[in-house]
Amino acid sequence: MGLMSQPIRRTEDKRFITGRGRYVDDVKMEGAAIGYALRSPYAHARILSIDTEAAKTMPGVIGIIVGSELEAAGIGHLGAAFPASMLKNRDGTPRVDGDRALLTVDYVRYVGEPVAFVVAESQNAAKDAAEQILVDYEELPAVGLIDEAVAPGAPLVWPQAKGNIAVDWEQGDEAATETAFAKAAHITRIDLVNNRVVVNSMEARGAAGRFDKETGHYELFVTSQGAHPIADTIAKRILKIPQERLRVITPDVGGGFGLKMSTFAEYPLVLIASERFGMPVKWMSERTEAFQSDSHGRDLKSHAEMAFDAEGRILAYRVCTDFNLGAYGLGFGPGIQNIIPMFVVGGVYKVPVLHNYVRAVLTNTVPVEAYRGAGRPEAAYIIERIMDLAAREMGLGQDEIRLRNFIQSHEMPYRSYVGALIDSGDFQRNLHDCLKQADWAGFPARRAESEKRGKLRGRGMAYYIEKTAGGASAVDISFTEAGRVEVGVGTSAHGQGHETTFAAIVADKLGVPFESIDLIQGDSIRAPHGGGTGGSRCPCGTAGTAY
Amino acid sequence: MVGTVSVAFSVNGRDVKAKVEPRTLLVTFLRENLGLTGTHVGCDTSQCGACCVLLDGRSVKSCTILAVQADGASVTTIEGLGTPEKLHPMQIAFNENHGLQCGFCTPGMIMSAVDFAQGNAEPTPDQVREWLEGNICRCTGYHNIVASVEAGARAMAKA
Amino acid sequence: MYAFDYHKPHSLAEAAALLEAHPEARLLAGGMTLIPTLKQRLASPTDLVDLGGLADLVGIVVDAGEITIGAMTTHAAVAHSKEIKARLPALAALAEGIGDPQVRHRGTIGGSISNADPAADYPAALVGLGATVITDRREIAADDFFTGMFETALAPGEIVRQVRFPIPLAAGYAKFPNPASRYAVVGAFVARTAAGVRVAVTGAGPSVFRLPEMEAALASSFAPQAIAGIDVPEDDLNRDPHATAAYRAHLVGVMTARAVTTALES
Repeated sequence: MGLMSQPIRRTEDKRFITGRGRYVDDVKMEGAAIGYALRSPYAHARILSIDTEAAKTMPGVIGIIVGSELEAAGIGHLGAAFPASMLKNRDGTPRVDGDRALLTVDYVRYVGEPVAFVVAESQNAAKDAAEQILVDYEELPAVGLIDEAVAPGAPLVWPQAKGNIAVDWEQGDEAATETAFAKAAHITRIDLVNNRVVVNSMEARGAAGRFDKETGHYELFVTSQGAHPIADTIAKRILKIPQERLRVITPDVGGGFGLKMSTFAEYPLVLIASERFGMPVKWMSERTEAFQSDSHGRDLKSHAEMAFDAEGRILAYRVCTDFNLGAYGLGFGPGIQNIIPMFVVGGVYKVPVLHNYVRAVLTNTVPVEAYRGAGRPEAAYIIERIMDLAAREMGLGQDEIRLRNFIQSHEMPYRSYVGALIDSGDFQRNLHDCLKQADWAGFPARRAESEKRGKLRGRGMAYYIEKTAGGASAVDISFTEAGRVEVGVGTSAHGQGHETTFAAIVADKLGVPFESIDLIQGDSIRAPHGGGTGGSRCPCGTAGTAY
Repeated sequence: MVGTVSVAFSVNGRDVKAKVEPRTLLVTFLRENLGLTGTHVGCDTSQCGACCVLLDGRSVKSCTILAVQADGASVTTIEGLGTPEKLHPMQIAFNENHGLQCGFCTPGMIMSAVDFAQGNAEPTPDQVREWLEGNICRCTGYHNIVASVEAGARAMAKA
Repeated sequence: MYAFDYHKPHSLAEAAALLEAHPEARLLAGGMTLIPTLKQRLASPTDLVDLGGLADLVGIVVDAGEITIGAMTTHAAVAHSKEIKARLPALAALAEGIGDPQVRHRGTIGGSISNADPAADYPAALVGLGATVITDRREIAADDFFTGMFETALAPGEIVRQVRFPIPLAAGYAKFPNPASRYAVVGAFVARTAAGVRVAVTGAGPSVFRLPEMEAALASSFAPQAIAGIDVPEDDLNRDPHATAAYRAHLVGVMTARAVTTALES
């Protein structure tokens, strides 16, 4: 029996359980200085002036960088991962992402937006100095919540985004949906809030960079979900240098959750600071800082309606969602609630027609980006909640309403209304098995027992289907003279145990010892180009390639 | 004006003497001065427990103690517990029970667990969960961590 | 953290002299609140005077009618004290519910009450039991000790030495903890003594307070049902993202009833 078909102990655990893991804050660079970002205390303000003179004379300060200097040096800006053509307004006009400099020059648009980057001999010295930077702010009206932002006359985050709508988008057929609703025997309506979350990977974000004056090469250690996307962004978009002059290395990573897919301002800043001040520079986020500077997740409000016939079968589905994009459209942010979940909107049910209208709303808050499932759990939450509510309204069981609406196994491959090809699945049997394992029928007795102890007991049921595994990437397998097998991948583990998974696959396929395999990951130069780890793609995409 | 203070303590059985700024945290001293980077910093608020070490045998959060407060004490970090070649029973238990994913909380989790196990050879899952109040994991959902601590406590009692 | 000088006195007198010499100094007990506060740069003392070297301030003495706890005694020591568990289990249980094990290994009763966090647990025990705070200068009744949010009757430079608790006939503590910090969103300490019943509430208001109406009701009938109809006005209660004032007012009744139940079971 091969390794792939049995549980094996993780290779990487040996170093993690003995404190020998190497996370970015553990990277020792001789003579490294510490970077610290001075951040906006205002949700929205105009910057009248920044005076760093007093701060520069503080003990231990090496230098301070402000946005105007980066502009003068031609340093590029951050931006969204989607080209304009991939996601635009439904009337065809371009969306608004805003324009996010590494260090803002004229306006701050959320609490936590970086204004200056202080480099000093220690973090305490950098913080002491940052307190001496005099920033003259003219505070402006701000909007934080979706409802505030879309209210008539609300202050605008970006003047070109009318009503603070960064992009509106739709799928399905509005008129046909309306026609189907007109024939409904029953309509269920629900309003849902999916609140904002701060990602909080256990290891906060961090980066350490150095510039080699002799060779003109940059080296960046960064906690990420993939070295290549960050290397691409920094080389092409920000530093505007040939790719081979930048090596990005991601060592062990203390959790990602989508947060660590993106390039954040502090990563190129440590490289720029290293070049400017002539020493390696490290920046580590503190937890409090993470709340203000990491991208956030979720934050959407939806109104959904489902039309049913007299037997509880779905006739049509209608959703209107506003999601809070924050102050800038960065990374995957603008597409999180529209194009990313577009193929899973109908869930596992036969939905003959639907209309899904989604608006991205700009607010004076931390930008919202990819987070755990990124749009698809949110879509599942909406349809599963409305199915539950409909069941109650129509006097059906939570299981019964689903049984009446599942896509049937004999209908596979099934092309859903939104265009997803569901090639396999037996949802009825799956439900049956699940109810049995959960002892669904035994619930009343369990509830009675709980009540006797003064406890409340509830239960829930939800289905989840996801279009995933996008973006297969290359795998390099090389054999060293020392008899080891090096497996290079463009993905990067942050808890998934890829060193074990990939080694098991390669060992099985090549018939070489499991112990002889080394995974080369998280290195933009040594590993083959890849899109990083995200969207549950590695076991299918990259490991599939290895197989 | 502010100068430095002398500290002398034992870390993983080795005597350490140094002059530090009074505001130096124990975790900073362990990581920066001694290079013991197995002790992690996960928060600013003493809540996450990634920085747990043993101070005179009891688990404490090294991010909430000044290095100078440890003067004269004995400190054990994850590096002093066991090595990849000779693992401590609690380390083995975490490996065998898949009690970790990204590994960032793990050193603190293990140090906390070792302290717990000293007086609990046969813990119940509820006792383990109560004890782990001060250790946050973001990956695993705790189930396997609890199983690891239970197994580790039993193994420590036998060792 | 801002820079500061550090002192470790070996006697109370030396500690008092250091405080006198450095008016912007702060006492460092367990540091479980002070050090995070310093890390956040929310305080900037010129000096820290560490009480960790004063062995006299550590210890638990139980006699016929009283329990005396040294200011530098940790929450863990109180929680695990066999004598306290036997004579005043509500106090041991309260200590066991503070923060988490690592916080309890460092945090001290003297530090907790001197800081007088409105959501701290110990103030409820002190006021609920009618304890006495013994400082290096005088004795202060708990009812007079907590004067406001993070405010006490301690004079500048005054150092808490001990807390003396009378042993009640029965006592109970119940709290609704903040799930992240374990601080009390609302905590109620109930004690039945020969002199009557005391009810002290922490977490709900700017400072710990007593509930005379509930005390009277419980004095005539020491049972959770006795306080069922007593509403607590929400006017002066705390409101924050964790709980509204109305919710806290509701919790006061629930937690007090649970504390009575606990006291009856003890």
